[in-house]
Amino acid sequence: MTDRGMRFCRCLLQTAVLLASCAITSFASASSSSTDAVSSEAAGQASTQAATHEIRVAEGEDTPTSMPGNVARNTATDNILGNVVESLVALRADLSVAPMLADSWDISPDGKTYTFHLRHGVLFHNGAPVTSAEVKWSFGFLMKRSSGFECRSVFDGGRGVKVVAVTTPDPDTVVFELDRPYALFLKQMVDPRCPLAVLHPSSVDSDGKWLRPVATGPYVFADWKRGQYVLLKRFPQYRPRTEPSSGGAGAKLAYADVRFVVIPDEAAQKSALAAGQIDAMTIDENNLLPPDPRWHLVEGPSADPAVLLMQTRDPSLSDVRMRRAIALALDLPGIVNAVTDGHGHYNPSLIPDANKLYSTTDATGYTKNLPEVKRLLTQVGYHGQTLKLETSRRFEHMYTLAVYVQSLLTKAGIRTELDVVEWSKQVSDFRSGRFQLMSFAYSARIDPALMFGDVLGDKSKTPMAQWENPAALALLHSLQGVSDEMARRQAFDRLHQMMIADVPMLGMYNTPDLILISSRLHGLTSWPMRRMRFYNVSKD
Amino acid sequence: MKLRSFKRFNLTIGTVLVGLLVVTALLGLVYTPYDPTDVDLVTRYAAPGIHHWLGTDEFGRDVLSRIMAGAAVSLTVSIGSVLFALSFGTALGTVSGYVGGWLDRLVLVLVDALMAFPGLLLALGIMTVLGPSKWSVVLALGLAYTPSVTRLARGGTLSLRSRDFVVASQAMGNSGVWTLCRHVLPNCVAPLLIFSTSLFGSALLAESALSFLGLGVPPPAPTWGGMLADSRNAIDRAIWLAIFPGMSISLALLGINMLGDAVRDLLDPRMNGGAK
Amino acid sequence: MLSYMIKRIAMAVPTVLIVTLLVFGMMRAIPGDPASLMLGDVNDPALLAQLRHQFGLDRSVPEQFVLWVTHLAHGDLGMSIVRHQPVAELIRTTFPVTAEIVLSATLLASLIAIPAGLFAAWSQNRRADPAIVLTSILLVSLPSFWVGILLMWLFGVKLQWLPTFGFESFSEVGWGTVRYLVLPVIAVALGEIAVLTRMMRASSLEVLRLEYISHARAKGLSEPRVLLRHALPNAFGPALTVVGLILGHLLAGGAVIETVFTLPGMGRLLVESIYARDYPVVQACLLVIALLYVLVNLVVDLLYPVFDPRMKL
Repeated sequence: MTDRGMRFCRCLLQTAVLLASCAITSFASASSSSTDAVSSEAAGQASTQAATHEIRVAEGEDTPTSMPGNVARNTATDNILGNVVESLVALRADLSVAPMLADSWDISPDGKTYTFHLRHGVLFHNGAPVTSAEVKWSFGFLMKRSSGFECRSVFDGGRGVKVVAVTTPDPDTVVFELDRPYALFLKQMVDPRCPLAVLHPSSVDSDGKWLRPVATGPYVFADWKRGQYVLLKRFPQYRPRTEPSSGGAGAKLAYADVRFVVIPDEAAQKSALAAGQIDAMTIDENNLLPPDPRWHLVEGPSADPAVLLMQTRDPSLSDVRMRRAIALALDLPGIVNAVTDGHGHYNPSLIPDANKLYSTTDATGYTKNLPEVKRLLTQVGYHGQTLKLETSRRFEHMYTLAVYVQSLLTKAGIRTELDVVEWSKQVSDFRSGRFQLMSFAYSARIDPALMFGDVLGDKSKTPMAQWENPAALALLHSLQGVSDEMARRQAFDRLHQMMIADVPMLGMYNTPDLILISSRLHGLTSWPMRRMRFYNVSKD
Repeated sequence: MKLRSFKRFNLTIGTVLVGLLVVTALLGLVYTPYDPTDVDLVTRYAAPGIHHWLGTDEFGRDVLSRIMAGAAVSLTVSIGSVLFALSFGTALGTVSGYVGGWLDRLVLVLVDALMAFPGLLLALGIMTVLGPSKWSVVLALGLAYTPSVTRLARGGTLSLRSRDFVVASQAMGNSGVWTLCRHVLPNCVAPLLIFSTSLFGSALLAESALSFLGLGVPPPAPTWGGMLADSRNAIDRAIWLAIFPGMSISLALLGINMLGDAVRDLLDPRMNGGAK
Repeated sequence: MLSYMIKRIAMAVPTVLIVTLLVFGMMRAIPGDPASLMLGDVNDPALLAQLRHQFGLDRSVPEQFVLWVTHLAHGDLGMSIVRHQPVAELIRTTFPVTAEIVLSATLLASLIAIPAGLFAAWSQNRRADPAIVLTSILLVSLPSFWVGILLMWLFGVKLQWLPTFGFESFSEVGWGTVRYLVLPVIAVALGEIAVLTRMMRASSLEVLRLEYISHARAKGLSEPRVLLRHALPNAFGPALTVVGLILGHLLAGGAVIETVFTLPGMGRLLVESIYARDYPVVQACLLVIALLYVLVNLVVDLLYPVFDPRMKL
């Protein structure tokens, strides 16, 4: 037996080694055909680990699509395409509207007709000139059901306003006709999640299927290796605007190519930055690298509100005095300071503090008052029931906030338990209202009216609404056609005061926008929309 | 003589470490210097010092208290899942290997199916049905390890089934169960014991990996594995957050393995090998 | 032998069927679906309904299953909901990466552990045995992702010898692909070496005390010959089982290592797809994994009697 076994064993080992190497080689060669475009050159470029002149940015996920505003989009999509596409207008750093592909526009007295005068001499990435025909074509393409544009309902009457017609009286003019006056029309055009990008028809193939973005921005969508990187190349024929740059508006100069690299693990991103293999990454407050001359932090406020939601229809929380007790039991500024490691500050309002419309009224929230809490709890008849606070670990700051709130609420006498669930379950519970307390962060809305609009509502019709108050809702609706800034600011102040009184949720802070960059990069700034812009950024 | 001193070395160190582990776990249940879930907005990331002997974590929670409280939880999870897999798997494996036939085939199909099921989905499914808790983790890990134990037990049983003393026992008219328990099981024990000591290590580490992926024992309850997973982001800032849970895991595993080896050597003189 | 093989292959069918059914049902039973996950906090009922229809989620679960199986019969694994790519292509590009790591790590671990275990058993009276046992216990107590991060910091950041992220396959850079594999393979192999060594040592101990070994020694055969020709083949059996078990485990459990080292492997694909509720990808991955498990177990079961003829099939 031993002889036979020995021979068999030897044969086996030899075969196994042979098979393994064959398998590896054949699998590996089969996997080479997965690149999207110029394969060998891109591979060569990717393999140079030494510092090149291109700017390398880390993204936690690959973008699932190269179409701006497609429903499958994620933050990587917005980050990348924000450098590639442009709309008729753009947002400044204070979130006001500025010209971009349109030099100016006229609004009819009834507020229903917008006439845009296009800029001269702008070219698409394929060299074709931008005319009103392409603007009309882009809008038509995005409005088609088959395109998968996420914000279609904003322009077809579902969520926002209905665009009745788009006409092109001459190559330099485009006219949009709305079904009613809508003060947010211009801003909605330039929502970073789904911009109304002006695209050239060669972005799609003969069947109307999406190929790649042929747009007008300072960068061209050059190469995409799925799951690995997206390469943007400078657009040499880009003509920057003359105004000073601010946010997504003004002059946009491209100094170097940009490569967005997929690194899903934040610790790995930090290693890559420390090793000089990438130049920029977004980072959490609690996860910073120690200070070093080789890198520094770029920070600024964002427009994303982090909040503590309270299910007002839950029997334990339906009494406003109970919710008020919760609000007064916490040292909110202290918690925010700890959660953001000093990078953010308490903002009880749904209006981002970076917004022009933010006022001192909006800064008024709740002050910790434990004797009052005791009084309220006795009034309500609270006798130690446990509240569940739901959160997930998908976003660290959401989780951190929940941990602090749970512990401090319990210390103040309101028994709370953490319920850490998966992000998918949390989204599902948020959308259906199945929770008691929840640590949550909304994605930024470009205007406070939109934020209030998503929060106010009738929960029996819209379970995602948080605040049921018909008077507040009526006040919000009355703002639809109003564009006067003073009037809007006063209305928002009033809404905030009503919200403080009703306590449907606790506004906490606007999540700080933190970007860790290598000291070789110059000119990268933060802005409240959080999308990393690489124009006006140079590298040594 | 070298042999005996090695055995003694194993026994002593193993007992000391395991004893320390059990004492810490029991103590952690009744007393810890601070409340392990008590957050502190001010003293976060404190280095080990007078007030906090092992430092504090990102929430200002005392690391020593969390290690002590975590001992009980981590131990429960690992011992629980190993015991589950051991009992369930051995029963399945020996019966299936001994009886053979359609029962054997059925068990193999089920066990293969269970093993092909990714641990993550299993853990997720169990957490959804039973709610996230340490018992869901025990069940998930136990189920994940059962197939390996089953196959090992079955393999051992198959080799023994045709051995002389087994055949003799059957010829004598002893019932299957009696033969199984008296003759087959004891001889299967050795590889199973070794395997279960390494399973214990795997369970401790698997809990850590599950916490890394967001599915371990739900926070804020401390577990060593969870603390280790969370410490990853702070290695440049607060390396003690990784050292202490990591060391605890290592020492626990070391103790269990050494004690296990020593006990096995004592019980089974035939395993001494070498000199006759 | 042949009839046994046919019987085992026939048993594979219900196994794979059970797994796919369980996965299908379980994925739809856990809360959350890809459509609402995509929308997040956006309130657009019309869009939600459109997406659910697009992904086939508005049909009943049995209907969806039948649909999926029908497509499968035509060789169509479907389209990834989240990544907008054909699932078959996703698997074709990610599986080789995982396979390379798993095979290399297991090979490395076996090459070290099997001789080490045998040696430890043989030298039980000397100093080498306790040293090997202690080392293997220590190796076991380090979580692979922890080791991975440490290795990455040491070799990627401090020494800058190796890249900290990315991956290029053999066909792109030839043997340069090893640069990306070194750290993950080491991280994985360390843990496996420990388990394998102890297993091998235990079974070698058993074999070495058997009569025919002392018989061979009495015959005057040299010690290495005794070990290699007589002890090793017989001790190899149980270690083979463990190798099969490890291989099986790793194939689905590589997610953690692949995340830490940013490798585009199937483990990471599976985990990310489960979290994103990308049903077609999860189902297809599980199918592949189930088939692989069955194959590996079959091979191991067939090899067992070669090393232990006392075992009757």
